[in-house]
Amino acid sequence: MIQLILTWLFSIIVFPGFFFTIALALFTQYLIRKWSGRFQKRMGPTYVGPFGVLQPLYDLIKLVHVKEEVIHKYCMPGLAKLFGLIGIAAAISVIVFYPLSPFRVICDFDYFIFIYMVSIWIPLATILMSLSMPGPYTSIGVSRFLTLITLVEPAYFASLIVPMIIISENNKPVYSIYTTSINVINLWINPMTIIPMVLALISSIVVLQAKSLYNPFNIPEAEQEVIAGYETEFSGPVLGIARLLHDIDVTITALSIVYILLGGPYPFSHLSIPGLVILVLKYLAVIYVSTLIKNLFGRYRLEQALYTIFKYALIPSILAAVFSTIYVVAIT
Amino acid sequence: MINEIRLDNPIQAVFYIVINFAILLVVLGAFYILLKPGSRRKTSIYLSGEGEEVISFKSITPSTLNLYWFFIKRFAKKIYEHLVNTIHTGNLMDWVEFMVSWYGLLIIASILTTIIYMFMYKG
Amino acid sequence: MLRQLAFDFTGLTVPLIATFAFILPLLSKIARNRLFPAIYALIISVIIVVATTTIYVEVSSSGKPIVYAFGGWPPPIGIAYEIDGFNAILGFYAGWIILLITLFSIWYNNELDEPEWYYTLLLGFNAGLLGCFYTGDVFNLFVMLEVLSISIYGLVSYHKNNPVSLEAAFKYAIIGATATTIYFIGLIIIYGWYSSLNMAHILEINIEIYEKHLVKGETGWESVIMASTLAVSLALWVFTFKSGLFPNHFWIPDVYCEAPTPVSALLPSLSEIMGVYIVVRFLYTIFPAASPIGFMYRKLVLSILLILGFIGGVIGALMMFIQRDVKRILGYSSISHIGLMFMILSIGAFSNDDNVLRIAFTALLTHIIAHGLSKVLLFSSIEVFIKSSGSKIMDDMRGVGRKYPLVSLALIIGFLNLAGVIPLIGFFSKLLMYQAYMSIGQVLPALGIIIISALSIPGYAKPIYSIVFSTPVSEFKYLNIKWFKYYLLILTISLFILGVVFISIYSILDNIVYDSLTTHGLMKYLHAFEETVYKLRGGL
Repeated sequence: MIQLILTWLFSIIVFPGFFFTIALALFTQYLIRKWSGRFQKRMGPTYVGPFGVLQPLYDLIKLVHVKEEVIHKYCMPGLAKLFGLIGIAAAISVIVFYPLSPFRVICDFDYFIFIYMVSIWIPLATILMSLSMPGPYTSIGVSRFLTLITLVEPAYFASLIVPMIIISENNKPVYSIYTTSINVINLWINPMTIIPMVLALISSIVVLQAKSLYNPFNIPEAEQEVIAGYETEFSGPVLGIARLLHDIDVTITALSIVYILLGGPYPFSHLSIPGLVILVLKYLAVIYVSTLIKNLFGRYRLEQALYTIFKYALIPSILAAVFSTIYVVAIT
Repeated sequence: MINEIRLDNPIQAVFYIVINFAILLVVLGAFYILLKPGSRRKTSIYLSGEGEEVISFKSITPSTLNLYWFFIKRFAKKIYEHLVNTIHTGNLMDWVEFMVSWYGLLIIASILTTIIYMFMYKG
Repeated sequence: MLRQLAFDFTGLTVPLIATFAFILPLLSKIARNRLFPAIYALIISVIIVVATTTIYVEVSSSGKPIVYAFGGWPPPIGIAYEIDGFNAILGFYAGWIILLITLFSIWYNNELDEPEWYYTLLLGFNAGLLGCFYTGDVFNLFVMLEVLSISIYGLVSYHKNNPVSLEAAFKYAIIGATATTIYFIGLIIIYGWYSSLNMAHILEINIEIYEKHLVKGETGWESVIMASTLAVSLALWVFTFKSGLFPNHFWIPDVYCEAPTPVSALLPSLSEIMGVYIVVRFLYTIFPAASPIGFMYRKLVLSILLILGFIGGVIGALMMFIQRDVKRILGYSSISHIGLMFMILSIGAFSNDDNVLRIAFTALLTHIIAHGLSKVLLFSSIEVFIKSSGSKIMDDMRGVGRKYPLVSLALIIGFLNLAGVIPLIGFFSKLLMYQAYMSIGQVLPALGIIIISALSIPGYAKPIYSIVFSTPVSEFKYLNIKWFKYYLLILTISLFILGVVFISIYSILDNIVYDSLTTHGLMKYLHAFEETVYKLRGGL
């Protein structure tokens, strides 16, 4: 009993909870900045820490601790920070569903709990955080962000549910992240299920790009139009928390793609060397593809972005879900 | 050292997630209080460098009608034209058309069922 | 002892409320105090709460339905009220919501120019509502439906000097009166074939015909198929109008906008739920899968209800984006949620397995409770803002929430509950809906539910943005809301508490659904009816 509680607290606070997720999020930010720098023939972060790895951490501490907080008379900074911290807590608290964590909770339909924490709390926290520091540019940025999120979240849900439909036919517990990540490797080998999986993967990469608001989807912070969109009135600790929330969102989405669609370390086990290497390689591949797309594209107008998400994320994922349902009906 | 908890009901799992949520909020709050900045400075709202007198509308934040402009006027323009001008006109006669179509559909369904039963089990 | 008390309350409640409603105008003429009708209605509401709670506790603990035959006449000849688990819990929920609405009306009292007529109509509505929930006789349902409808038409047009309210009530009343007449035609058809108007008796005849004749495919039974399908069609049209499903939803935005705010709060939590309840009764209790409509019609109609529920959900969510008036946004939100309720209750189109029906109806009951509480909380907090700013248009209310932090918190929590965020009870209803559809392998309805949920969020963000977070548009006067903030605080905390203890609420609701809407429950319903008939006929 005591051992259970200790493992639980360790999983939430150290690995893969609070410290590990924040470290991974900051490292992901470093990778994206360094690779983007290399694409653009610049150095990227170089001076702080070996190869500049500690740059995001120093940026976070600078924003939260060193910089002065600047507010105006209509701001509610305490509320903004509270919402930001709620968003970060919501994102990290579902990490116990993954096979990565030593303390795991596995049940039927835990995928929906994951979706509701990550897809509803994180955008809501971002929106409420930026509405607490109001202004004309902020409001326009928030409305653009909200319009984008309305189309992106169903696509995210649909693209990750594709392997679960097929796997839940024969494996218990059904619609669970753990079961799916153990068995999804079989779907990539079977030639009849490759088409829905490829459609789901394409859709999820577009969703990752849209959720993380990187080019071509960096519309809410379109600098020429709305100054900095929903981040206009952020400064000091609120900006630090907002950027941390954004990075954690990217990390959790990428981790979910790696585990649910790509299979995580399987076919090798978690604690073996080939398993860890494959896991790290898959994660780096997903982040690399995202950085590549970020540097290749300019910025879309909002209706172009909505059409792109509709055509390349929502329709393929719904088609993939329909194909996998047909496959399941045909098999039984 | 792997502790797996297998539950049969997702409602029980929500309990664990809520406890995680609470623990993390406490930890995050503690870190924020440790690292919080010392000073706070008040300025004016950012309006591209102008003061508040540039705004001639009643309030600095825009009206609610401007909020989803791209969605309503560009992306889903045809859907909204159809919704506002054809379906939700406010005219009782247009509504009654829709309602009577649903009524007719139900009556047709029941008559069709009877006829199909008659022909399926003839004799 | 509890059983005897619950039995007495079953027969006593509705006539008592109606009597008290009718003598209120006379008593208030004698009392001549503005607050007298309000306190009177409050006392009656407390009596209603006690009565419905007793009935609920008795039915859920003993598991046996209560059958009350009025005047001692045995049921197919006389009128009987039959209360099984499903309407016991809905009656319990209705009693508490009636109490909340009465408290809200008391706070709203200054705007009512003739309070005695308002409270008379409100008590008349309560009588009609509890009669509709508890009745076991389809003709008595028609009578109670008329009582409820007339009260609502009066309540909606209460501010009679406002021409827009009269127009809204008039549009609702014209089609509503036509609808109840159409239901009456359906009743004529039922009586013409079945010679009985009692729900359990019709169920018994249905099961007998299905098992003895229709499964073998005998000819000569087309008349029963014609009669039952036509009657169900007519009844379905009427009750989808009452609850606001897609093509019959046009009255909702106008009525919500122009009715007095407590009446706008009463509609989504009670009146539309009555429509949903009757549809469930018709399609799952009186005419279940083993009945003459089960041949082809029932699956067809349930699939159509699923599609209409989805379209209604999407239309409600999309129309929320373009509204200027805050009460209309809540009206379109109701259309969206009623669409969701119809999506989950149409699960009989795919499977009749009892385990699936248990999850689906638990989801429906949870959604009814979560949605009703949220709407009462939202209308209550919005009324504070409307009074303080003097307008219903969101652009004129910008920034008023900054003066009332507690009420703004209640507003935000109310909208978050409708969106379904995790510790609140609104999340669990959506979780159970996904679970019900996923366990039978239907992905498309689950995708439909998540599309509707995602499309509603920008609509909910509009009032939150304009009321709570915008910069103020003028100097609003500060209204002293005295005891009303405790009311809002208790409602907000109850949303959290219901979410946190949901695991025990789930087992209670699951048992209730098992005892009433599954095959086992139907047998109990029939058995209680037959026992009462046997006793009342003197053992023959």
